[in-house]
Amino acid sequence: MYLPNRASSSAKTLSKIALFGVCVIGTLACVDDVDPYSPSEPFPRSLHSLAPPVIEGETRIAAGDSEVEIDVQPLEFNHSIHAGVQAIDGTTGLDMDCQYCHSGARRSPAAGVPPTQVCWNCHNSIDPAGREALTTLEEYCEPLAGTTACQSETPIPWRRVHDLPDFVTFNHSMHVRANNPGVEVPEGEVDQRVQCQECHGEMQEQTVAHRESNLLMGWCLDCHESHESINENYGTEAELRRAELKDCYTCHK
Amino acid sequence: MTKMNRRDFFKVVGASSAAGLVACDPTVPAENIFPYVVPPDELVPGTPMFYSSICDSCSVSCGTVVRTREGRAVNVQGNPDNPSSTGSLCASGQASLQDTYDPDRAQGPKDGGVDTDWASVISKISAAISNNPSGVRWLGRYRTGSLNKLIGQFMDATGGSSVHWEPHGYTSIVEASKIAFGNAVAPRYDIATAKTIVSFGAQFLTNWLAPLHHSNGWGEARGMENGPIAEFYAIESRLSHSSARADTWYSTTPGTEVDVAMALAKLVADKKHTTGALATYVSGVDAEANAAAAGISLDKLNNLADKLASGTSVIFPGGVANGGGNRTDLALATLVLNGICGNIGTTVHPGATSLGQVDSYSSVASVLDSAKNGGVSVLFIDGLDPAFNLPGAANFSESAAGAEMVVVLDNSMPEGMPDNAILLPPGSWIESWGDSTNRSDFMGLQQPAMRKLYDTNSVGDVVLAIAKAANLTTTPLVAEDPEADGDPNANGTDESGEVAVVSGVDLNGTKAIADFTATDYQHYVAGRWYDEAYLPSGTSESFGDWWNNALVRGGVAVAASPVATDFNPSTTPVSAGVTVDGTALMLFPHSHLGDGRHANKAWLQEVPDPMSGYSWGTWAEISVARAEELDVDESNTVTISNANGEITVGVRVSKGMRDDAVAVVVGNGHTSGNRYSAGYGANPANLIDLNTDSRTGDIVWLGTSVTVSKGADDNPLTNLKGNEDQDGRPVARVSYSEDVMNNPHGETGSLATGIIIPKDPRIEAAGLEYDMYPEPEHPTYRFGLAIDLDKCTGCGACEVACLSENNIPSVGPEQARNNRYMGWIRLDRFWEGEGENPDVRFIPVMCQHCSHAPCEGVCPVMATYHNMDGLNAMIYNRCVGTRYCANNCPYSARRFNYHTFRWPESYNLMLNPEVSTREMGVIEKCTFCIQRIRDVKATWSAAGHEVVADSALQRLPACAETCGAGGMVFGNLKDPESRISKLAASPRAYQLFDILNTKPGVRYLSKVTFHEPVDPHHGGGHGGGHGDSHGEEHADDHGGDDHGSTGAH
Repeated sequence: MYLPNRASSSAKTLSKIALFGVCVIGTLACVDDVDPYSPSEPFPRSLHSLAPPVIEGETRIAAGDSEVEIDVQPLEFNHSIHAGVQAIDGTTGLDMDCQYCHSGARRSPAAGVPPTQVCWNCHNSIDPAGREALTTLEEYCEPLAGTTACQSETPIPWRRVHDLPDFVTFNHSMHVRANNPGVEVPEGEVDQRVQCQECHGEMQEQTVAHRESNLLMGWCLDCHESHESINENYGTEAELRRAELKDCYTCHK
Repeated sequence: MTKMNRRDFFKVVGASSAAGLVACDPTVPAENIFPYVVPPDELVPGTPMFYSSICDSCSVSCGTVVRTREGRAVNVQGNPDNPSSTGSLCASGQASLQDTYDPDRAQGPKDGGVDTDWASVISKISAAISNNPSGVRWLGRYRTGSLNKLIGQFMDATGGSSVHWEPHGYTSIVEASKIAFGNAVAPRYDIATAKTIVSFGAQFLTNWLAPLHHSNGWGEARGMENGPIAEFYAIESRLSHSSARADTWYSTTPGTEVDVAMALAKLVADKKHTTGALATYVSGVDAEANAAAAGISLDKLNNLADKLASGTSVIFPGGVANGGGNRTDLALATLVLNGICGNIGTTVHPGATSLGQVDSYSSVASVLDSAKNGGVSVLFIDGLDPAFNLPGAANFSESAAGAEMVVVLDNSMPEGMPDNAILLPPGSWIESWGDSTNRSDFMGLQQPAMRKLYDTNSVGDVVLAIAKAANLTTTPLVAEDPEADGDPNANGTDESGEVAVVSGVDLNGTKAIADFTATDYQHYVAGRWYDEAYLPSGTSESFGDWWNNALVRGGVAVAASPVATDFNPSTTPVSAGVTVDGTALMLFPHSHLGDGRHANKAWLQEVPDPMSGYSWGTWAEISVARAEELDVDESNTVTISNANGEITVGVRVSKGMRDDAVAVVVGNGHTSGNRYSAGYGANPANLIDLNTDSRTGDIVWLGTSVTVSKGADDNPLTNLKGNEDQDGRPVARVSYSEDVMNNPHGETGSLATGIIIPKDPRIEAAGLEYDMYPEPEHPTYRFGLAIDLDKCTGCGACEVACLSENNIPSVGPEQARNNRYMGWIRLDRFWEGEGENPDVRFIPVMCQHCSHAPCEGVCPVMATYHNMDGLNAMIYNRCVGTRYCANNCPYSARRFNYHTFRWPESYNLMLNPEVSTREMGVIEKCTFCIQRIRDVKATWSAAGHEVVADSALQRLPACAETCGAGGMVFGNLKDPESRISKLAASPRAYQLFDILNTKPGVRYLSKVTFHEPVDPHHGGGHGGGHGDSHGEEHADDHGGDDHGSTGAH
């Protein structure tokens, strides 16, 4: 603790008292604790938050961070080859639909990431050619000899790029439904539907996925308030729908 | 001392504060997201999967539906397709999730306390069997269906013998049925159409026989869909939990209930001019003498007999607490009475259930004897804790130690077992295959809803493995070949692969199924079902398709074989008033813990007992006069002792107790088990004299005498019941039955008025609104919950369902004593009456979701507000913990997290991912299960509907879904066609604390009383409440028969 060179003796005394006070309060705060991490404690409880302890060297993110780079993925999956048009090996990119891999997006509240088997369904016939990502993929899959079936019991431990706090519930399928896939956009009209890219950024141009939105509540409410698709999908009921979308209980659980 | 300048002072203070803030880190670690490697076909991550199964918590085996998320069971509810539960589930069933995730359960087999592997322990056991096969004994709990058959085959093959025993079993009613009808089978009671219900002490709404099925029937009997409201009479010495709902209670000298039953039988037979064997049977009964012996006036019995003679009724026998040496006689007398009333075949169906097909204690005693004398090579103990349940004189430990090998099939070692006993954990029913044939008209199918958590094997798998290792053989069920074409399938097509795989049918000649060659227990069950359900059904479906259908629905209906119901008694019932020197000790099973087997589940220990309000311990009930005599109240303990032992337990002073008895709850006092069962309370079984009754050979629980004295310590128990008396306030209201039945649509106005504050006429005259604030706008929905207090049995299943669904922590007895019980719904109980009209009123209270909520306006940060669907929304991350809202709530519905409560390892696996877990410093409360509302809205809008239909809303919240009596109905109050709107318009409907004008979304329907309120002009609540609590003093003046204290008490 910094003290100016000319600190008087009473400043020292006061600082000692202050330190002592902090320690006393700290101890008192712990008195009613039972060790929440003791494996035999029947009613574990603590006076501290649920946040997990800080571990040195671990990737950490903060709410409100935009442009979060999660650069420690277990293997370097390149979105632009698969979902975009980045050329590789003389062929153009695959330009696949997001939902080919992220099939949960339309069916479930959780979009998820594709199972290893989905990757291997194509990659079983692709020569790794020294690309580390592909050899790592094969290791994660452990294909049964002579088949394309994955035998591994270890899933690929992806780091989560788009993460919401635990007290928020997010239903992906409802957002994809706002996409209204069955509706044809008439010629010449602007597509008002919710595109994946609106929230996830131009993922088809990214290599390793990173987050381009800050995922804060205000950012979500911007669309819940004023996205064009609400009028499109709800017509006369749009005002009511906007009120529903801004209700706290819609997202907070 | 030198002066310090201001700058230095602030530097010092600032630095020390900063030191405290450094620990806060606003970042969190980046999370992982794990996909599957190979996804299961049917599972979409993020959406739940539901599996039908059968609960194993007690012997009833109700149908359940297990909700799983990503392969992990998170919630258990009733199965609407199963006739035992019809979509509801009791408290023990809800808590069976905690069996699966028990943090202390054995994770693999143990030999003498040392971890071992299945192969070695099975070979060790089979070697011991091969050595002396006829010395094998099986001492287990009641088993049904395939497991019962398998154990039977196994024991036959060894030449040993098996005993199935339940500590508080139903041997007396089975024996009574044998005496009366020649069939040793228990009856099934269908009470929905009864107009009069009489119980001689059976806890039919709590934990006796098939409580959930009885609750289903109770709800219908008290509703008016089937005609007039059923009236409930309880005739027993102590007012037990089920009998608390009685409209009238006649207290009898213990043991004389049989006299009353026979007297009623005679009176009804006379009124109905009964002829035949039944009439002859009761012809010699002197009703007046019997009534006098029991201490009830003949007039009252005549009144009751009139009612029994004039409509459908159902009469229940006695329970555990009042089961003396003549309990079989009581059961026989009630069967006779049922017969005379014409109930056999309408409300009482003898033989329609296999419950009660157990042995009595005398069989247990002979097993223990041969063990003690060295005649037992292997003693299997299946799902029982005999040292806990049996009186000390049974010497269980000593006997068990005499067996050469003791094999315990349980998830933790019960008490009193020898040190070298082998423990084979079966896991829980959520991880097991099995079936149930408890109902004669339905076969229930149990399938695993998740993979086994640990290295466990179900009892069926263990028996098969041992039989194989010991080279035992048995007669298989040979599949009939209906078309004699060599193909076991009835439809002619060869689905051989399917059939062979699923049922174990060997198509190369011998079609042997359901014997020890079955691959595993799943195949054994499938083989039995093939023979006993598939083939008799005559369906043209393939077995594979039929089996899958049965799995989805949780079972199949089967044709019940008729049971003889000709009354042909071989003996007459004996009256035997239990005379005990001193104080009679009555034991009763805990409403939630049963005979003690559920003490290892934190939820069931935590939820207060509905009658006493106590949790986490044992208490003794004494009467008001006795308490005065001993100079104790509920802050004291009493010491109960006799030659067998002594216990000191907390006191409950009860208006339902007799002066000459003390009642102690059975359930706690374990010395073994897990962290939630061991060390709480005291076990009263040790005080019981070991006596058996002459008819069944089972232990007589009532008949021991004790002395009671004031204990030295203070009462250690946590009491969460609050005030027993409403003090005249119209919280739980009653309406008079005549008014209700004559004015079903409220023609004469409300029948549940409370305190009426007259509206000032000047307000209306000035053209002003009575309310200060306009009612909030609810454009589409205004959700509400209607709770019918007349149907509520006080079982507490709603409390446990809420704990399960909403990630509510168990806080333990110390924190509960500091009023930190976290349950969002509580069951208040008021005992408004005296004597024959106990007028016990149960009222579940949760957040009322008020339109004019007192809590919303006082939140400084708007963490709680009124949402557009009528819910009072609580947003945890906004809450700063001022607790002003909890202070302002008149219903005390809000709970504050004084700590961050956590879950021990493996209990954390049962958390519902749809609901947050809360941190220290935030308020929480009932949300009407917003996660379920959100889900049903999403599902319905995805299907293209604008609003959710009422049928999907009626049982949506967890509490409404699990209520056995169907007393809770959820729905949209804005929809005039919804069931809740119709209930809210009922003349019995009222709002809690309506004088506060909070406009709650929860509507209560008053309880119905068959006793005319003292002030009939006040019509209902206030008059009733006020009258009942003060009426006793004036009863004699008014000459009120019902309120007066006549000889009985």
